[in-house]
Amino acid sequence: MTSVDPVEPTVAGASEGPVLSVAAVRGELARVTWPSVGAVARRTGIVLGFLGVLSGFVLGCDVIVEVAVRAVTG
Amino acid sequence: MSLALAAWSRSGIARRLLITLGLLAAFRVGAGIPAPGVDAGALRACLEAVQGGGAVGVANLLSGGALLQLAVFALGVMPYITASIAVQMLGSTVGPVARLRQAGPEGQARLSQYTRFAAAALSGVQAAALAATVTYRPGTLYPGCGPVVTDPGVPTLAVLALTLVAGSLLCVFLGELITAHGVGNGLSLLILASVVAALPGQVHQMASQVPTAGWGLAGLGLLLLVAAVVFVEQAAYRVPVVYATHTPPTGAAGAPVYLPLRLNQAGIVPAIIASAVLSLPVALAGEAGEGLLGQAASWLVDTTGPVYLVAYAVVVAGFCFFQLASAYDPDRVADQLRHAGAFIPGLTPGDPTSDFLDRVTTRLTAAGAVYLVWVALLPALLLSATVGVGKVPLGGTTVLICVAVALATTDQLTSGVARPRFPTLKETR
Repeated sequence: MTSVDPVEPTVAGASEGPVLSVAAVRGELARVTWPSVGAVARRTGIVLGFLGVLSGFVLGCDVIVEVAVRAVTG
Repeated sequence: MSLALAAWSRSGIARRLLITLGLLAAFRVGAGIPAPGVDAGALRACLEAVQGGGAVGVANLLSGGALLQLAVFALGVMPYITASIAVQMLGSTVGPVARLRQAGPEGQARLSQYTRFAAAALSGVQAAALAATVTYRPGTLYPGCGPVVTDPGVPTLAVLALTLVAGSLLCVFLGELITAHGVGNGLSLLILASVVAALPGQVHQMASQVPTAGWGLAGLGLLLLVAAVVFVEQAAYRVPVVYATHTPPTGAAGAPVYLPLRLNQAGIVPAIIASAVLSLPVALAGEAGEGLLGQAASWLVDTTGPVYLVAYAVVVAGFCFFQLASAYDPDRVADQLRHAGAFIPGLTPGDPTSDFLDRVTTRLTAAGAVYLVWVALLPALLLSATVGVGKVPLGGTTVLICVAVALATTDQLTSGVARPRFPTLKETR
């Protein structure tokens, strides 16, 4: 059996007060783990690369289909 | 490099990627082939005169231009998405549906079946309306245009409507195949592919509105917006969870495990729904004339006006909380933690844990709603303030869809490569 580590992060008292108020929302935002600038830059690069490849593929498909449709329908 | 390639081929990701690309190509073929009965030549001439604003513009964007091309996949997956939201809504308000939701995999399978039936019915209504419009009143969709079907009449209308229904259901099937055998969420990927297909037209339209001197600024703003969306989509409240009785699912025994609660709990659906909902009065304005509805629609046409901004914020916030209420059940999560022998440090299992999760997710959703409103409206407001462009076709909603789906898909791709693949029983023989 594993006992709780006394230095374990605890959420006790973390969500007291009114359910919805500006102060409560700001308090919750203070506990959010935000990504680092480096991680955001890396993920942004990955996302843009992925979108670039997907755009190229989709637009390539569209051009081929358009040419084929025009050839058939005149 | 060779190690990465070896891991790539071992993980089976290459096969899943090829399946995904093949199904996406099939989807684009269906989005490019005109439905039977459509006069392709006449339609091509009409499309050049269409601006694509309002409800039609939103629907056309989400179908990748297939809607106004009257393609076989003109309706896309949107009827299914709408049906899913309706079933979700019923699941949180109507007793029998709510009981099905809680009945485990069997109930979920039954609900999926009902969602498909609802999608078929909804696409039937939409297809009939679209077919009737293009058959008898083509000028509504293509201003100043004559007939776009070869033989206007009931048989053409029926064939066109049936084709559109079948096309929409086939889109859902393709999406489900991608989810099961490909990479990422199939339906999301199909919507992304549609949005991406409409991008060149949108960029061209934007470039013609923004002065040349503002292109650099607009590009930089777009890049910063993408980075901001990545920043917020990656943010999460990591609630510590301790497993007291056995080894946790991840990490070493006794090590803290976290229950991540995303800042944007509702995802991108509220922004898509809000755009569609607010464009409806504009579409109806043409029928309503100068009455009260016509006046309200004229206020909603100005996407940088105070009425539109307030209405958009209210609809997004409403859908964010609805999405949370229908998709996230803190009581069930608390129960799952208790059954797994886990607890949140400082809280006793059961009601206190459930109350805590409820409060945290409600507050995060409030912050997430503000984020969604800002991202969706900021491009229009900034371009309106800086270069005087009031109507921005490349809206924040498009950026949200692109970035959120790309993040989820690339996450699955990278985790698939990192995960070791063990040989199957057949391979070991």
